[in-house]
Parts: sequence; C-alpha cells; structure tokens
Amino acid sequence: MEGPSFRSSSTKDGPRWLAARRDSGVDGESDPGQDIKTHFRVCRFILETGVKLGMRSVPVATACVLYHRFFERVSLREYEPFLVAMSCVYLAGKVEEQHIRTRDIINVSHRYFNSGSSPLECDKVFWDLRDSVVQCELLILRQLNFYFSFEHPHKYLLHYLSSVKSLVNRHAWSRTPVAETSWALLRDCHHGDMCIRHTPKHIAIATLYLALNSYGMELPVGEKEWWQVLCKDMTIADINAVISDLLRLYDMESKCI
Amino acid sequence: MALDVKSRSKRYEKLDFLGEGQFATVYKARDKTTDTIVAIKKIKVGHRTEAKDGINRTALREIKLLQELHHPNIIGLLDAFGHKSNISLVFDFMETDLEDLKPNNLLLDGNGVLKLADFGLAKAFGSPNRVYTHQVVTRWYRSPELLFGARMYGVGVDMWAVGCILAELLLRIPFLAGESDLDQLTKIFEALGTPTDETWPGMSSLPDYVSFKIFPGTPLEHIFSAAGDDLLELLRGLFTFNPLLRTTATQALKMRYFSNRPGPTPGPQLPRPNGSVEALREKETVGLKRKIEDVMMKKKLIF
Repeated sequence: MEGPSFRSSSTKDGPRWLAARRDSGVDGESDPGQDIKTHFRVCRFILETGVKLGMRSVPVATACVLYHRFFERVSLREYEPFLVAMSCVYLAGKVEEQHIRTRDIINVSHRYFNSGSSPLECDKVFWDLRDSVVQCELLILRQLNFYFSFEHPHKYLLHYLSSVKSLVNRHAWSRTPVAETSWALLRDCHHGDMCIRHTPKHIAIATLYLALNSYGMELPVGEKEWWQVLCKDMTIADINAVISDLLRLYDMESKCI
Repeated sequence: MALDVKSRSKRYEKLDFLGEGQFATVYKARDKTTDTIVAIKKIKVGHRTEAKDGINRTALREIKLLQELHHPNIIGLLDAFGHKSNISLVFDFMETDLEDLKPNNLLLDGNGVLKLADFGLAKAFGSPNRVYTHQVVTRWYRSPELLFGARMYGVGVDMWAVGCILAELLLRIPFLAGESDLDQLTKIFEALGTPTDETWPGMSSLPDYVSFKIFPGTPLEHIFSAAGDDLLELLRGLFTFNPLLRTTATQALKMRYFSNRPGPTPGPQLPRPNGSVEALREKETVGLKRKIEDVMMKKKLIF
C-alpha cells in the first residue's frame, strides 16, 4: 500500500511517498493485522536505511525501539509512520553518539522509495520535510517522557557467544556461522514489537539457542542446560515464546513484499 | 497528548531566577504535585541554526546519563519535559548555585551533601583509547594533555581537575587561571615546572604540542603553605604530568590524607556556603548599624 510502489517524487505538499499514505484509507478502524504489517515494513525501512547510512548495530536497534515505544502509545492513524521512523533514526544517532545528518537521512529515504532517482532539490519540499523530521523528534521525546536510552540484547549475545564458544570444539565452531546467524536473528527481532516485549537477555539467549539448533550444534550437557547457566531466570517456555514471535515475523516477510 | 504536555509544564510554579549559563537558564520552582522545591534548568534553544537541528545533543547526553546514574553524590534528575521547542530538566534543589569538574558544578544540598551537577559533556565510560574531543573541561581545570590536543585520554583529566579544585579550596582563588590555552599551559608550567620527555614520555608527539621555556617550578609547600605533608603528597599525585602515572581516584582514597586525623566534618555540620537569605540580610543590617554607629561616633568626636 505505501512506500516502495510510489514512483513520483514529490507533490507541492511534500514528497509523494510520505503524502500518499494519507489517501490510502488508513483513517478507518484500527486493524491489528494490518498494523503489524505496516510496522514490519517501516522497521525494514529503518534497518535498510541504517545500513545505507553506515549506522552501527546498536544505534539501529535504538531507532527501532524508539519507533515501537512511540507506537505503543499512539495510534498508527495519528502519525505518518515513515516520518516517525526517519526521526527515530535521527534521534537514535544522537542518543548513541553516532550523529547522522538530516540531509543524509532524507536523501537515503527518498532513494529507498524512488530507486534510481536523483536526490531531492533543496527547495521548499526538502526544507519542509527537514523541519518535519526535526519537529517529530521532539514529539517522540515527549511521548516517551524523555526515556530514550535502552538496554539492548547485543552486549549479552556477545558475552554468551564467547562463553558458548569455549564449550565447543574449535574446528566445529569455525565451520559453523553461529555468531553471524544469531546476530542476524537478533537484528530481525526488531521488525516487530517483540523487541520491547521480551527482556534483552531473553532475546539474546533465544536467538543463540535458535542458531545453535539450526546447525545441529550440541553443547556438552552438565547439571543444567547452558542457557540456565548464562541466564538464571530463563525457562524453556521463555525461549519458545521469543522464537515463536520471531518465526511469526519471518512469516510476515512473505506477506509484506 | 498536547494536554498532557501542558499539564506537565503547569505542574511547576516558577519562584525565582537562580542563574544563567551559556546553554541554560536555571529557575527555582515549586512542584505543585509534591509541594517540594526544585530547580528547573531550561535549555536554551539558541540560534535558529541550532534549533533547526532539533534537540540539543548536550542536553540529550545529560538527560541520558542522569537517568542512568543514581548516587548520593550526583544530582538527581526528577523530571524532564518539553514545551514548544524548549526542554526543561527538573532537579533536586540545591543550596548552592548550579561535564565538567569545577567548583561551580559542585553543589551542596540542605544536609551538606556534595552533589556533582552538569553532565552535559560527560560521556559514558568506554574503552580508554576511544577518540574524544579535546575541547572539554573549563580551561582552568583542563589537564596539560588536553591542552596539548590529546584525543585519546582517560580518567586522568578528571583527576587533574580534582587537583585544581583541591588547590582552589586551599587558596580560595582559582589556582591556575589562564586567559588562553597557551597562557594556561604557561601558568601550569610556571607553578609546577616544565615537564620533559623523561618525566612525561610521549608529550612532544601530542597533536598541539609546542615546546615551552623551561620553568623550574615552585615547590608545592611554598604555594600551599597551610597544607600538611599528607595533603601535599596528594596534590603532587594529582598534578603528575604523565597521565598514566597520575594518581587515580582509587589510589587517592588510599592515601594518608584520607585516613589521617582530623577526620572529615559530617555534612550537616559543615558551614553553609552563603547561609540563608535571612541570615544574609541580618548580616547586612548589622553592618549598616555599625556604619551608622561609626558615623555617630565621629560626629560625637567632632563635637
């Protein structure tokens, strides 16, 4: 419905890719299924934009969490999600000390929706959009009561990976991309609000668990399971809850092309 | 939502103007919800060019760090709210006026407990070789490695600042009050002697290094004539040129000065910085009375 399919770059009221959504019948009743799809698309946009802007993993994760926390409080019908996403990227850059210029965010976003097109002219459309991104930043901060700094699963995953690595045969470890896979799974968790519904530790354990199982890599069994040693308060039900949320997101991918 | 923001800024009743800095204005206010006195720091939006970049990064950094830090000696951030394009931070109210360590940022609360304030330039403690900006710390409290343009520095810069604060407490005036960065280095070397590549290996390869006249320096016991040996030992450690050898906070706390008698005065028994407004007024009237009496006396003498 929105975004990628719009080719024309701008109208006199603003770039078409932002303006168009308003006409696409979203002001009707809230549809949870539809909302999840929209959030999936917008987060995919954040993650891709993040890569193009050279953002590190943690600032990108912060942008996604800001986005989900914002829409946890307000309705999708009140604010343009792609604009909110652009502001989240901008704010996340400041929060995580990897400052990104608004100009770059706008150019990359424009290109995302109009592949192959030239950058926006520095005209009124551009400046209005820039003002919107900046104003929306303050809106997000207020809506979040200025709580904009989050703990992420990344540091835990890193720590768990180094612990697990020491338990596994060196050659088996070098043959299997467990680290890369679990890191990718972790990133994908941010496509939905599951990244704010589960604790960072639980997400880290579950993604590592899924990566190890996918490659059939077995860890030596002691009195406790490896994940119980690393994270005392975790149960197998917690792991399954994270994994089934994640698998649902992968399911979503095919529906959101 | 708009209603929410409005009601939040209405929660505080402005009572008094406390001070104005480069980036913010501070007010004394009453929190109508809890009926307590707070200090509100209103971040200046600044130039149009600055406002165009959205929320001030320094303010954002300060909020983030204060939300994460909870310590009896660090000022407590109670609330943050935005109104129009302004951002206001609500703090515990401190008796004294309101990133860097300097006496202006050390506050005392009503119980004489010291609180650090102003974390605008503070950064999360990361790996020691992270590249930072060297334009931090008010000049008088800036360490020689920062003045020589070092981009990779550590906690040593804070310990140097601690030394300067300690010296200022002893002298009652700023110890090294340079008027420019070069003058700052001159003041440091005049007082402490010019370091050499032997006493501070790597000094001459710092980005902004310039060679200085060789000053012999003044023995610390001549500058701080009231300080005992244990205190001089501490000062010497804090004013070590080589940042890697400079006394750390942990080392400092183990030094004799902190265990020798007399022990520290408990906070509540410390003399208050200015005293209350009433006490001040009283002092003034007493002074005025004396003046009047003096005049009367003179008149009497004349007659």
